[in-house]
Amino acid sequence: MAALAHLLSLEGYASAVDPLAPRKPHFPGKAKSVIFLFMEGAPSQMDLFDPKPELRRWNGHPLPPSLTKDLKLAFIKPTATVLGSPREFQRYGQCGMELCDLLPHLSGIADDICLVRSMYSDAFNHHPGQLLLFTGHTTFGRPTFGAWVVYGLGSESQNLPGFVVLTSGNGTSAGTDNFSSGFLPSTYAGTVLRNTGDPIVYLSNPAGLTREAQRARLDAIRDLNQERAARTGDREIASRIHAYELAFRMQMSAPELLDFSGESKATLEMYGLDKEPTRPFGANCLLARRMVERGVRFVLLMHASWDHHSEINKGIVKQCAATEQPAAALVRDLQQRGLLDSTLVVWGGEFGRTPMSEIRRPEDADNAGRDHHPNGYSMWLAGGGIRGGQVIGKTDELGLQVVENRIHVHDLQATILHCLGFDHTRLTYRHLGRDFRLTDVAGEVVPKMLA
Amino acid sequence: LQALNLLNDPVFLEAAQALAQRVSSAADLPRQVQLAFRLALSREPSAGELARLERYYAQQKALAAADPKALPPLTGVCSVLLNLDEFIVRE
Repeated sequence: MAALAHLLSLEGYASAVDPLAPRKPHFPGKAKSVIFLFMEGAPSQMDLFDPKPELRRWNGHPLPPSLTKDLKLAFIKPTATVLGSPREFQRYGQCGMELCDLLPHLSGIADDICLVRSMYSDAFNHHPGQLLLFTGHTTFGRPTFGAWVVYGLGSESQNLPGFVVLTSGNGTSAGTDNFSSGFLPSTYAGTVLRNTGDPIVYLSNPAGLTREAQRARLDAIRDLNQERAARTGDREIASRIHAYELAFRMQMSAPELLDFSGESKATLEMYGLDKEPTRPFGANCLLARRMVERGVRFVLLMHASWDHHSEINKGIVKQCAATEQPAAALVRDLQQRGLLDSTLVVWGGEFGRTPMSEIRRPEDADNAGRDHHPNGYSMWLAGGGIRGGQVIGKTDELGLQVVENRIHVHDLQATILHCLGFDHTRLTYRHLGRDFRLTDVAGEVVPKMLA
Repeated sequence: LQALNLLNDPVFLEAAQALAQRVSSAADLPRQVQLAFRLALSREPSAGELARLERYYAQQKALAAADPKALPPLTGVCSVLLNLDEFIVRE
């Protein structure tokens, strides 16, 4: 084990015994885990969270060129006409948060969530937008949010991966770039569970191998790997050794994690597991809660897609029908179990959508959609040190630009890291001769968001 | 998850079985291990590696003595080689 200890004590592993052993952050943080509900494709903020009655007055008319000349538009032209939103908004909760008619369950927990209407990003296409959201830069190769968090905090679970990825809907544009370890040791990458069939396959020992025999085999594999590591200095072997140890433990722990039979009927119904279309995303949300209970540090749920370039009214109804109930159920469930204070839940996409319409099939009367819009969009957060029952930020009447409390993706990242107990400028890794961090060279914590 | 696949997928145990069959013609266990190393890893085993695998072989042999359905020890040794980082990653 001496060789292994030496290997793991090299830069990149904070513990000599286990790269995922729990570690203290810079200061005590309220949040111990993160559940990131990533709504891929950019949900339309004016049709969900940010009411813009002006858009109905402008419906069918192009905007003055002075307002559109500097917009970075992925597909439409600056002369595109405005699309009014058919959604009805009402105020909810003691805080009076305006939410639309597609969010009945979220409306019930308005006082627990912090709605941010003033997000902005630099990217106006999906892959760079996702890279920015999850790695802090629009180029490839950097570690992702989850990887940074397990690098910094380790994992409370010895028997499950520290960073888990669950998917639903169609695929995402950035795919594995959203959860890779980048230049951090690969042991910090997200582990994806399958969304059809068994979430984890090959959990059972093959025929002819008892648990004792499996352990003996693993010990031999480990010892030979260690000798190789000592001889070659290949640090990735340590990741391999750790992966095999984790696999062995998961054989015992995963069946229990995945078995929902202990959950009450009320819980299963709250998450929508008893019906379609809420069942797939609901199962992922419930699994996320169970993982956090068992010490998993970062759970990334990716649901695709909200990229409504066409038929936005139909599309957004469909996505809300699939995800809105389970997302709210997750927050409620965490709260009821006393886990919300230590679990930071964040909901949102890589940017927002334009007030102007996008028409791809003019012959179709209901075809209108919206294009990408990074200059002002909405996300919500709850728990883990975030102050609920408030709305932060404002966009202008047309939803084009943020006019109050601009919050960049880097600021969001800095704030989430702060809730976990990190000074985002000091959670770093030396690579290519300098210190890298999630927030690149930017980011300010947003004190308003904090409880 | 790749670890679970490599460890438990019957396909890889069949491969280990095939390798074991190929090397079983060698005269004794050390020579069988040597041949397996040459075939799987293109090199000779170190003294430490050989000793460790002989120890594992003895362990698995004892387990197999009690259970006729257990993994044959030489197949076990071969499956260890097929799970090594050195085998999985082509440098």
